[in-house]
Amino acid sequence: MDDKHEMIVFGTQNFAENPDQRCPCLLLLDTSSSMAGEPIHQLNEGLRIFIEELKSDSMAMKRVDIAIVSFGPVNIRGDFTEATNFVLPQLEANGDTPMGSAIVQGLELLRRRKDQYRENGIKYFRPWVFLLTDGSPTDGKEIWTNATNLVESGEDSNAFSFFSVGVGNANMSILASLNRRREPLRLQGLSFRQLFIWLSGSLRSVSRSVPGTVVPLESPKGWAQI
Amino acid sequence: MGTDLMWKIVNKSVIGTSHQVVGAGLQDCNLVAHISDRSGSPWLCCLIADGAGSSRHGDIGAETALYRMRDYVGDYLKRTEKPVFTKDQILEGIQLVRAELTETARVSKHSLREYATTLAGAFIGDRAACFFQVGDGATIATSRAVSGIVFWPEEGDFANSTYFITDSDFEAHVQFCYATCRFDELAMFTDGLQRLALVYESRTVFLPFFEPMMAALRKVSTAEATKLNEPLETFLSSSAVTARTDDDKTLVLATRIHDSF
Repeated sequence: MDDKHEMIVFGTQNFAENPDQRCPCLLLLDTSSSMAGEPIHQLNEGLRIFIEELKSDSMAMKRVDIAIVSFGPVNIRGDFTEATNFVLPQLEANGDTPMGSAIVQGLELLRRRKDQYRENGIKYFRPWVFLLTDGSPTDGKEIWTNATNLVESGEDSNAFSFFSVGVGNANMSILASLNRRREPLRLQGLSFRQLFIWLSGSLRSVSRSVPGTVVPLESPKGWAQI
Repeated sequence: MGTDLMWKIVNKSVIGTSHQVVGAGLQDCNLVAHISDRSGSPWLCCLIADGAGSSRHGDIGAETALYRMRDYVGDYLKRTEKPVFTKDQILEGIQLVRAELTETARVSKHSLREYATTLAGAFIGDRAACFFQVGDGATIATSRAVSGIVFWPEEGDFANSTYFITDSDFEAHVQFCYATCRFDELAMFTDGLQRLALVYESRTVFLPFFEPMMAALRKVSTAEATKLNEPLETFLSSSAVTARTDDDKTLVLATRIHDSF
């Protein structure tokens, strides 16, 4: 063998197998009857691209945990599961807009998921909750107040970051009152596709965060009116 | 014999793929120094720091921490016949780092937290050793009698959140250990390698990660040891590693040349 040209190999093929840290993401999606037609079509298409983008990234595939709750009526379309195992639901538009009830049930899924992480010693990034709606809540006052309180206390204790996105004729002032910590964003037209590409990109690049500070997010320009 | 000939060392800090994607620079760094105390006994001084990815100048914080701490410990060793490290000394050293960073922040009109960094150090003499750590990352030390992780990395509730020397309550997160025995091998690494090199369930070192590299380092001549830095960099940037971690990563490995094993 020619020693002069021998490559020095230094390293190892042996890595500890630890459960990956998780980035939970809860999607609360308005599928009320007003979403019928092009909006629901674009939403389905956006979701499909979202899952595709995450699955194209080996790290995101293992780390990003997704749950989807649709409302109109409230339906858990997928409890938290790794992106790799996520089955894409086909959303259909019908019914009214029980947004508050969807928030309460979705946050309960999130709470249970966090318990699972803790029981199994799995670290997690601050969860993200995305609410997409084109209307106003049709819940009773009590449920809506309960939902608002849960969002507020969750944001205050940094238990999650809650983002509201209004589509079309969404009631932006109700969304603003739902989360005083974070202004609601308005979707440009029906650019669900851009929104979900942005979301998958943001989930992929979640970087280490200082405890107590807000997770840095890229500008949502391209899909939101800002 | 010069003290630099007492140990064979490889050390590298390599940028993570996620930092490259967002155009951020390398925020990890490491420093290795050989310092003689007043009686002429050699000390190996290894420091690693990981600037917070979420802070604007974590890289400056990390580098400042390494050099100030090295100077502080070096001054102490040089004027001391029989050095004995205490936790108060380490606290004082960190205070000096903080003072410098506070001044840097004041001049640049930034807040101290923009310079957030972790810091871990190992000072190893012939018959004693001092270890300290703030935040995550880990140090593995090996003597004839024992081998293991010195401090389990201190992490916050969320993934990738930890404690920094710039935190106002940093003193509560300074882990310290002084041992009066002779250590022959040392491995230090930042959090980018934690999940590859540690077993979380049992909170132990995953030795198979280190063993092939330590074996190679023990085998090479002193002159050849420095040549291992390049393949170490290649390894840390390899797809086998980057498929498992997208963070910056630092690895320092050291083995004594004489009387080791």
